[in-house]
Amino acid sequence: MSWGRKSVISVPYLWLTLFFLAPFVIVFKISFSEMDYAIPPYTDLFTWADEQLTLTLNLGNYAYLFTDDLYIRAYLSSIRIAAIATIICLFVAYPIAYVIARAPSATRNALLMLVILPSWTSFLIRIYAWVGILKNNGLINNFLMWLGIIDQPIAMLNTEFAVYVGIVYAYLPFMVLPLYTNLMKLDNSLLEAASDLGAPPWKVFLTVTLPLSKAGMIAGSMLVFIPSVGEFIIPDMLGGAETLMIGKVLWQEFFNNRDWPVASAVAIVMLLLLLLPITLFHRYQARELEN
Amino acid sequence: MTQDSQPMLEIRQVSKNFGGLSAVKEVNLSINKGEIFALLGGSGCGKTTLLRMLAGFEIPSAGAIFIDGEDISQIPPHKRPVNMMFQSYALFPHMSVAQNVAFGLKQEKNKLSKPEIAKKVLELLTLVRMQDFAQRKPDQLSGGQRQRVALARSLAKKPKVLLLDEPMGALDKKLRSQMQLEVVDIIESVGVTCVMVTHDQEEAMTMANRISVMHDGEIMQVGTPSEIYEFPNSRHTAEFIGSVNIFDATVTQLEADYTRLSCADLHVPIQVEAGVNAPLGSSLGIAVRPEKITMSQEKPELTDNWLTGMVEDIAYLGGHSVYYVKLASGKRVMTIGTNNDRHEQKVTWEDTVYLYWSITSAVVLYR
Repeated sequence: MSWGRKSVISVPYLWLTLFFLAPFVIVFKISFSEMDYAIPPYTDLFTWADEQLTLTLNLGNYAYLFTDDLYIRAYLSSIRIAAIATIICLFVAYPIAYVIARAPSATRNALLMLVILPSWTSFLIRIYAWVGILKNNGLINNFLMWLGIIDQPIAMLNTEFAVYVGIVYAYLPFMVLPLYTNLMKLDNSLLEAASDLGAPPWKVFLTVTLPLSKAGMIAGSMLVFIPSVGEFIIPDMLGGAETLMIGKVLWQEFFNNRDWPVASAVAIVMLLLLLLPITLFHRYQARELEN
Repeated sequence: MTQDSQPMLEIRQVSKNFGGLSAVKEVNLSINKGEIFALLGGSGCGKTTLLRMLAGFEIPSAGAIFIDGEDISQIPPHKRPVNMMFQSYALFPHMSVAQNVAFGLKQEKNKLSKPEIAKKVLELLTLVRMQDFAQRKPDQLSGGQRQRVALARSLAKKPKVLLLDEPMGALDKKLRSQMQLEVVDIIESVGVTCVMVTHDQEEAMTMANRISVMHDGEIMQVGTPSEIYEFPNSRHTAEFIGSVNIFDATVTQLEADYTRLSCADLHVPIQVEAGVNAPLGSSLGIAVRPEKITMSQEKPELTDNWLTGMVEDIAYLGGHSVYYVKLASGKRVMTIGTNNDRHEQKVTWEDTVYLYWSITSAVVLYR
């Protein structure tokens, strides 16, 4: 390989090494150390005493994750919440993406803009806005009470429902965009052929559009599911005390307990859990590319 | 072909407007049972729009379409007794060949049982000689194979009318001529009425029983391939189908069995058979096909229908050559010479030649 090509390829590699691999190695290292009242608050893996280099690998942090069922419950509930939110997201995003892809090209860009535009505001502010909408004397409850439909506010804030609202709202563009790109590529003559062969519109959708947009659905689901599992801000602000998600546990370990080693172990296990869907996704993508 | 019974497909005063543009203008056509009918024209002539109205993808702005006596103009595509073979074939990429062919059968109201569908699919695939490829996916097939599958799929439901959209458009030239005959054989063996759209006159002439030449949303002429070629009724048709020399001439002598015209390009009058349907002094177009013109290096002993000029260009095409002869008036006339001698090409560049044709060779064009 020529020197020039190597140097071009090296840029992304350097980037990944610096900003992905190095932090990961540091976290990985911390997960094998012990908590200590020091700065930084953990012990070194390598110690040098009496001309002996000692490597101390503390597996206790990982073992600890399995002794206290808080962690296992948090992982399971994170995966459950992320999965349900992803499915809701898919159902909300599909019609949006479909309408945008079928819209005349002039309106199409405007509609796409509407999907992306909210992400131009701070994520934190957008989630905080939902507090104002969902709380007991918030927009929805006030409006419903003014209409006289309810006379007691419905508790929405600090429930799992609010977390779903938050995740679906925040990650919707990540589902819409891959679906849109996929549906745009859909050859219109295939839909015409199906209808020509006698399939009514709903059946054209089920037998042609839906199976051919599988790649877009999978890509979008991954883009929503993976970050949702580790989501912290949404469950923290909207979910209240009863919503258990691993992102919140992680935060508590780091900042409330200052137990960096356990927090690191929590992060590493989460990464391993996410590795499974990510590999499946990549394998699927590779297979799609071959075809 | 039965001419007596009512037409299988009847198009009555059909127009289609897109915004302010009219793509199809008051078209009337009547297509018989078992006929292969071609809509021929250049791009943007409205032939595809007309075909899409037959399939139901477009609704006519005015007029009506009847199939077997029933008005189908407002019926959605999935309820029409019509199937189409798409230009891109539009095979479903996520289904196997067999599943593609079975798709239409599975949509029927009185659905056949699974083994019956499988049996029918095999019959259809055997008809198009694709029975060994039933489990393949469309992307594992060649262009010609895909076309056979698309044909089988569009025949599966026994449509009353089969529509072909540029049937050979996606094939290379060699495969094209082979598939043209094969597709016609299959269509005729099934006996289905067929309407095809093409911009390729050779394809239309090879495949169709009758051709309708379209231009600018209107039907210019309807006829058998030889009628269209030998008796074009307009300059447009004459020029669109094959090559032609057109002379602008003025009627000078009008008799019952012949007409004489004068033309600035010729030193002698042009004579055509029969009396033309135009008064003395009117200007007409006289069309002479290149292969109807004889070329000679000696002056012919004729009073009419000959001209002289210099060979300006020769296009050697192997079996024959096309000669472009420049007249004193500046007009270029095209003629064809068969290359039946391997060693000697008698006529070459810059030669002065005489071109002549018989009284029955020229066609009078009124528009």
